[in-house]
Amino acid sequence: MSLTRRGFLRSTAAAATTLSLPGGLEIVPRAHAGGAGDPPRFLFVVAASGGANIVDGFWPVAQSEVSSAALADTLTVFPDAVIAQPAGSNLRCVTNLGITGLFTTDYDLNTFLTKYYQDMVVVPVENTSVNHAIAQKRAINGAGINRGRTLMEAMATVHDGGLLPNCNLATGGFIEPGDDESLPARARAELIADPLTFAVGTHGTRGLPGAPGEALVQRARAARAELEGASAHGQRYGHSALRQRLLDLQADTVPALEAADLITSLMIVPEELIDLAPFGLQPSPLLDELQAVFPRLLTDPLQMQAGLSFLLARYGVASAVTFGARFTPETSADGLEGTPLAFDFSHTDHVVAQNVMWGRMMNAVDGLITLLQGAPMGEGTMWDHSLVYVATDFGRTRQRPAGQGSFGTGHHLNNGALLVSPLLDGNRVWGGIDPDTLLTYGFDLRTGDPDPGILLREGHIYSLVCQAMGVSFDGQHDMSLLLA
Amino acid sequence: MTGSMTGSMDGRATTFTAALAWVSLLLLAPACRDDGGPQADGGSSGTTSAAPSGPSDSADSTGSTADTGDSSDDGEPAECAPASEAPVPEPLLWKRLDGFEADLRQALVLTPAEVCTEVGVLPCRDVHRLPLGANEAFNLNLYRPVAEPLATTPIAMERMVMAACIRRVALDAGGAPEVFTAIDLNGPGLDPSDEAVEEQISLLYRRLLSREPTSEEVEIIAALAQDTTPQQFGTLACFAIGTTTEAATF
Amino acid sequence: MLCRTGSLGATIPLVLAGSIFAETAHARPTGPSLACQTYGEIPECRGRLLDCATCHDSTWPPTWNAYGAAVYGALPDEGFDAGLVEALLAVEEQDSDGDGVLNIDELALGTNPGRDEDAWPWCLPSLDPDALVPVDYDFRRALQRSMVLYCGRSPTWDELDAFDGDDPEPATLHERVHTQLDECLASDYWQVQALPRLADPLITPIASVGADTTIGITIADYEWDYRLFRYIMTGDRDVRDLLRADYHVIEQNGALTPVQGVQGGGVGGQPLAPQYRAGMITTQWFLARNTMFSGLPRTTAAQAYRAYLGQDIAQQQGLWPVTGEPVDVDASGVAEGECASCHSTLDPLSYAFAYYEGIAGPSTGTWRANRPQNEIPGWSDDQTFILGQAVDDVPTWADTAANSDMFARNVVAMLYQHALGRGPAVDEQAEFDALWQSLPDEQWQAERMIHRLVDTRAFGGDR
Repeated sequence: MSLTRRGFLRSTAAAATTLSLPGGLEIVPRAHAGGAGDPPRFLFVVAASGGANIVDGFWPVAQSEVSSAALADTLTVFPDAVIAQPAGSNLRCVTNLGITGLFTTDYDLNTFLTKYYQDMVVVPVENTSVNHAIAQKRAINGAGINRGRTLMEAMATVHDGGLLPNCNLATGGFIEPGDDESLPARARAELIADPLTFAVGTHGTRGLPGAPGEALVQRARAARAELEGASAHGQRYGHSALRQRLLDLQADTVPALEAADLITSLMIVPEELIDLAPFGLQPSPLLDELQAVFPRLLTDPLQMQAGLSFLLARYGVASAVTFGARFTPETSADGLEGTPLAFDFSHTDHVVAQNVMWGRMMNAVDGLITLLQGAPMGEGTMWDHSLVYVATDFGRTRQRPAGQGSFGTGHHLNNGALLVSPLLDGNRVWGGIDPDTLLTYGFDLRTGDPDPGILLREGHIYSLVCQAMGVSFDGQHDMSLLLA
Repeated sequence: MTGSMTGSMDGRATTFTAALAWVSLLLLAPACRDDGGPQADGGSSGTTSAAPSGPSDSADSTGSTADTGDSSDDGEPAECAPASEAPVPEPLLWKRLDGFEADLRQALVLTPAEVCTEVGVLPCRDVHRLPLGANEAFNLNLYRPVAEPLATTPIAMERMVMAACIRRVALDAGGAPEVFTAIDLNGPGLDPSDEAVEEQISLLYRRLLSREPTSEEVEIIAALAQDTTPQQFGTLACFAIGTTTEAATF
Repeated sequence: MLCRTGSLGATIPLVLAGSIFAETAHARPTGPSLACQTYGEIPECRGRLLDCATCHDSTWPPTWNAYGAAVYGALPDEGFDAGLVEALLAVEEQDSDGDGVLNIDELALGTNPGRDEDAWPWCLPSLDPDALVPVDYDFRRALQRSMVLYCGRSPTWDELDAFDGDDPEPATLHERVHTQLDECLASDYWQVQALPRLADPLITPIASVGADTTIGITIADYEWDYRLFRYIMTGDRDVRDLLRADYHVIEQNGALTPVQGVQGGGVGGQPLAPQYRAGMITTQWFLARNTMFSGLPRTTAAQAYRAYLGQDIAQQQGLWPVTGEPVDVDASGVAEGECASCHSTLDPLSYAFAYYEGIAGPSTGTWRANRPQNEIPGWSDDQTFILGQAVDDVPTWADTAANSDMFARNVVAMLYQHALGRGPAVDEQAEFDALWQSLPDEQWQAERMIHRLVDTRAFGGDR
């Protein structure tokens, strides 16, 4: 019998209610830094596909702040009552609007802000494209500021100790490779289509019923290596980079992945979902921990991605992990998760899309940070070495039909970026916003003073992330003012 | 559902002569010019005026490595490095998902449902779609496949080949053999020097790589018959040959 | 006839270009089209336009590579547009990047005269115009490649033995390769399984809102697009129909059949009368997917330009600015700063698409004479341009595009990329150019181009 992935989930979802784990395996941290003495760094790029509008998230404007009520009626502002500002926080957020119906979220941004405001930074940005695919790619490559390398590629080039230093579970422009042909092969993204089954792709034979034992498989591999040296094909195409890439992976990467037992560490299929024992497999020893934080880990694709992202960092596999919302409707056993087309559902209903999707995204980020904070590293935790960059395509138009609460919006270059990290000088919104247009503007990079005449571009965000991660490149903007 | 996004699926029904080419080649061959002007010479040499030295060499290279053997010109010196020394493009193509799986099924006489599944239910071609070089336009919006093998590509290949080999061995051991016809899969252990082993290796090479093995290759694979059961030997031999770079490229 | 090499003059240091010019100069979107008027026969101008990277490291903020700096420094007083040709000619004999190859030679080869790591100092191959195939052609390799690519499987042992086991003459091998290729191109694998994957980047499906939606939201049915693509790329049909077809295609009993006129009603059908049709770029899906809710469908025009002419404006390719543009008809701020450099091409490319609805419920993808006025308050009915030519509507836009070198090059480049997984190398460029330039003589048929492609050195050469 063969099932589609969806059918597989449906057929087994009912069993995924309570979980138990077998005895855990030891976590074996790997080197995360490229140079001796470099502190480990973890970059999580969270793809908020479709246009996460910062003024609907962590930079809202209240109706009362607009110069006139009539003008406020035409802008995507919020009643004062739904804007929250926790004690001690310099940031504000739009609270959960209690949207019901087909699209809903049970997460409140105020929860996130209360927990993490000290690590949160909002930076204004004026993007350079309103085309989804183009804008998404520019959000991760700084519009080409670093020879076209994506942030994750740049990160994986420096912090390259992991087996797969750059793992990408996202979609669309967020999985586009950079444009730097000189990028080391190891820094290229390992694309992961399905977090649930990724683990089986980290071992050549385990889990295949009837597979010969390890020693025999190694004999066969050794024979294959001999064949490569003996064959006319090998001699004729000894200069082939493609062939050499495959041989290198067979010789180095495959044994390393298998030795790390990632087929266990990264296995997020619980035995309740499918009986792994007949296949000689077992769930990750951290699965309980994941499910405690992500109750819908097995059925919500975003939680599933976030969970695997944590494991990839936790087990030292990756230093840069990308995941996020997809345009494809994401369904769980509970029904639809978020809105179809993610933030781009704003075309149809801006308020619903933004509130539901901001909640959905930050719920996943909250879980990720919780897991990182619970993972010891040195004298602190992994979170001390991490940065979350909520990357999005662009902002949305800020106008609405006068007085209407349900309306659609288009794409807009103006926006702001959310970054969360103890490595940043947090609890701060940089730059400013005009309450009569809801357009953000930049600031003096030397003094931090807001300046409506300054626009920050994708390259500034790119530079900031790189500086926080200890990655330098020619031509980067000096964003050190924003670092902790 | 609101507004204009609402819809339904109701509407869905669920020679030009070769000469011109070569003339173009010659006409467009760049920039071997007379001193007098910038026009392409359009001459018959088919060679270029590019510098005779390597890219790292700087100015004032007058060149001394003209390679008239690579040109059909009129004997005038051409100041370019020999074409035979030019870098060649990648000579191999990656046999991606469709071709790789089809060749495996063709070689081992397996149906799509038989070739490989993960945890008993998920088709390997779906689970390992990206590492095996296919794109996924509809849900991942990955409109073009990855340009080069991913780090996990060899593992995906191994799993698919191993599963297929196991299946073929099991089918042949349990009924009229289709592929493992030279050896008795249910018999006693084989000796690497058995003629049947050599014949079986030849059969596998013909099926998996469409060629005969060399004696050296036979010797390498035959060694797998040592201290293994016939079924293990069959599986391992199939796996070793089927996961070579020769099987993965074309 | 000696080829002059080496640096004939001091090159302008890159750092100088960046530090001084940035204050007073900016990237000029007219540069590529003007340069290609001067150098129409260089690879970067045959069926395409010079890339901004020929001169620039960055267009915003503007920085120049060594060649760009040299050109800039040679500009006469009369200004950029009037003086560019003179400046280009003035620096031809220089080796600006110091890689040992003259600027003019690099332009002729298709390497970048401003980047020293991009050079080709080697001779180009000499090929016999009368030969059946290149001298180093490997027929067995060609057969294997043809079968994997177009049949979806490798030849078996028996097939290979039948192919060359009788040690036939090259002409026989050649005939056998092409006979097999004909079988492959008629196979379900090629027509049903492989061709749609070539179309994926053109159609850019999204399952969530397409025919395969799981939640009942369909903005259009992209299966129409896939069927049309498959139909046009097979059956010895004219590939220009990708942009010119005024028909749609249905599938009945496994056969693709063209149908005329409006198909079905509302979402999931095809609402356009034939006079408004322009092949793949006026299907309901293409309009819904790209225009979405935009008044001025810039994304639609950009995708049409990218997918069918190979020019990605987002990558600053294909810039052919129109004087006076962008007028910023919808007050989007596109006339400002760096935006204008691309929008002076993109906006006039887009105007004609404004008459077509994007996502609009049952009206999705329809044509409405008053749509621009209704959707764009400042609509001024400005002239649409493509490739420097004024056109009045999308069918004319498409017809102009379909008969351009860019289209021919792009279609063949798509087939070439599929076959070889890469574009042509420097020493394959002339062969590639000859290939796509033969498209009109091959009756604009995809299959015949594939037959020619298989005969190239790039495909079958023993390299």
